[in-house]
Amino acid sequence: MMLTHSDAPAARTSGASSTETAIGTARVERLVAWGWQPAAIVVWIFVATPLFGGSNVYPLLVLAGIYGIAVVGVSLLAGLGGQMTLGHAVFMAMGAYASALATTKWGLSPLAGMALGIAAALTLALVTSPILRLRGWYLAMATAAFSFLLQQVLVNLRDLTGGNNGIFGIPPLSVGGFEVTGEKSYFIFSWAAVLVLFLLGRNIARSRFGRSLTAIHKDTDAAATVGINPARAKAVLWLVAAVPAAFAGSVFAHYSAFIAPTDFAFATSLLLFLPVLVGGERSIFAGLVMVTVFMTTSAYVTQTLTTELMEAIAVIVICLLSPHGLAGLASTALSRLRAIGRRDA
Amino acid sequence: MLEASSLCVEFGGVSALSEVTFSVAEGSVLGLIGPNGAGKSTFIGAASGVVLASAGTVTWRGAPLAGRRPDQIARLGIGRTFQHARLFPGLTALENVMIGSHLAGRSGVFSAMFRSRRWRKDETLLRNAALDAMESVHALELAHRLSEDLTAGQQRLVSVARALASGPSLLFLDEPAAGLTDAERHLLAADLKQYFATHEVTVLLVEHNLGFLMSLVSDIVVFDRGTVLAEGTPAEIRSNRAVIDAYLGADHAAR
Repeated sequence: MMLTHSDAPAARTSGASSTETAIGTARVERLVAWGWQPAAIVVWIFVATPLFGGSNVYPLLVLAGIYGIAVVGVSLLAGLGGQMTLGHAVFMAMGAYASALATTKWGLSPLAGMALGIAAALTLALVTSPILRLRGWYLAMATAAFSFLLQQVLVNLRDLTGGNNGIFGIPPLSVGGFEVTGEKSYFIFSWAAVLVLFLLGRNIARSRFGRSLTAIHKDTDAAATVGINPARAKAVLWLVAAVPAAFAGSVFAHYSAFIAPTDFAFATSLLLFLPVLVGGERSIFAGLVMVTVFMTTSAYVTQTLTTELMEAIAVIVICLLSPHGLAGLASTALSRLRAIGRRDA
Repeated sequence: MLEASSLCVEFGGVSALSEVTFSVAEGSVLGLIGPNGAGKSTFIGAASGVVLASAGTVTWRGAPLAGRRPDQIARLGIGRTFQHARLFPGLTALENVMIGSHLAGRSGVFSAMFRSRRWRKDETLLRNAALDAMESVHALELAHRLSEDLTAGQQRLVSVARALASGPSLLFLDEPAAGLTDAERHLLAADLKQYFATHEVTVLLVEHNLGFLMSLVSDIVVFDRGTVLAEGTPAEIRSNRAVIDAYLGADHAAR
């Protein structure tokens, strides 16, 4: 998604009018290139409710929007930054539990709960940032471990989190005097948030900071040579990516009115990461499309994404992420078998 | 002034650099020549924070370079190229050079998010610095081509532009002419001569192509097997017995 402005030294054309046309066309092209994705999201917001409202799929589209908020962050982290993150649901959990506790136990407003959730997520991100020294496969494993660790923490801090029973009775989201109630309102709210975050995220990608992340991702040593501090840039990105996830978690809590540790399990982290992996590292928009696809296809599979299915996917993902991929695992296994064969001969 | 003093670099028991001592005067262009494996690139590595020195020092304007991270060294105003162009794949030549001008900018995440006026100014600055750098090596027409679509010679030019983009005060050029055609080499030599004449920059130039090198440098240091073999003007070096035996060969001495 690197934007290359087409305003290189302009070709000299004969006559002022043809140059003007060329400039005009270039402007339109740039406008379209800039605007088609946000426009698509706007169209989606208007069109989806009349089309799918009331059907089985609609609640899944709301959830797609909520997860989509987090996916913007994951897209920057894993796509642009190339940082494997199989534990991003942890940050959603920060937002969700903060909002839940704030509004059910501590008598705070939903907005205060959101702020608390974001602060908690940022703190956690800051504390865990040393993990970014790991790369690739090892980072993937470490972030996956986060998911499992979080489950344990949420279950064991029973007094705070309600353990496995979770927290229920979370009031709807209200901003100022306005309350967000009903599927349709949450659909519009979450997808509008997706639109805003998409634009902010894209702005980040197409900037000095975004370029430095790409440079670090492609050739860390060469990037350092031009003055980019890889550790610091990755840490900033880690923090930045935690914020939309926390926000998404808060919205989830208010939408669902009930949260439990299983809502933020490894499966959820995969749901945030796989759309980015499949959608491609260069496009936030593709990640958003893929998370919607993932959520809706589960409606046409008779059950929702079951634990068994997610675990199967996890195994596949892990194989794919292994240092030399699936093929590498196979050739390692093959060479080991051959070695055994030779030894016996 | 760039000063190396008894600099030693060891790789697992093998001495890559041993007691290297020489200096590059402020604003001058020093050539560094020697056979393959003599330690030329290792020296640049040690001075740019990529390779760890085991003993001795190398300082730039008095500030020690050993032990600093590469990005810290870059922030001292030091730029370098690599033996291979090492452009960032998937990006255009201009984007590559704009990453080179990174230090000329200051905008971070927040100003990027909201596209503030400060951000716009910053981006223009970075872009212009990159375009200027590309212009100084006649690489402007490559601006919007993807780096992997460029020829080896073109990639090398872009990598030189990337090193120039931050306006360094000390420049390490590691074989900038390698892989260039004769025409490209002549043009680059002229471009670099022009650049050195119009910018305040100290340069250490590693190069095997002696014709290219001689047109740019005022002095030469010769490395052989990790140590300094000789120092002097091009004429002195050409007539130096030890240098001829180790590197130049008899036919060079005749000239």
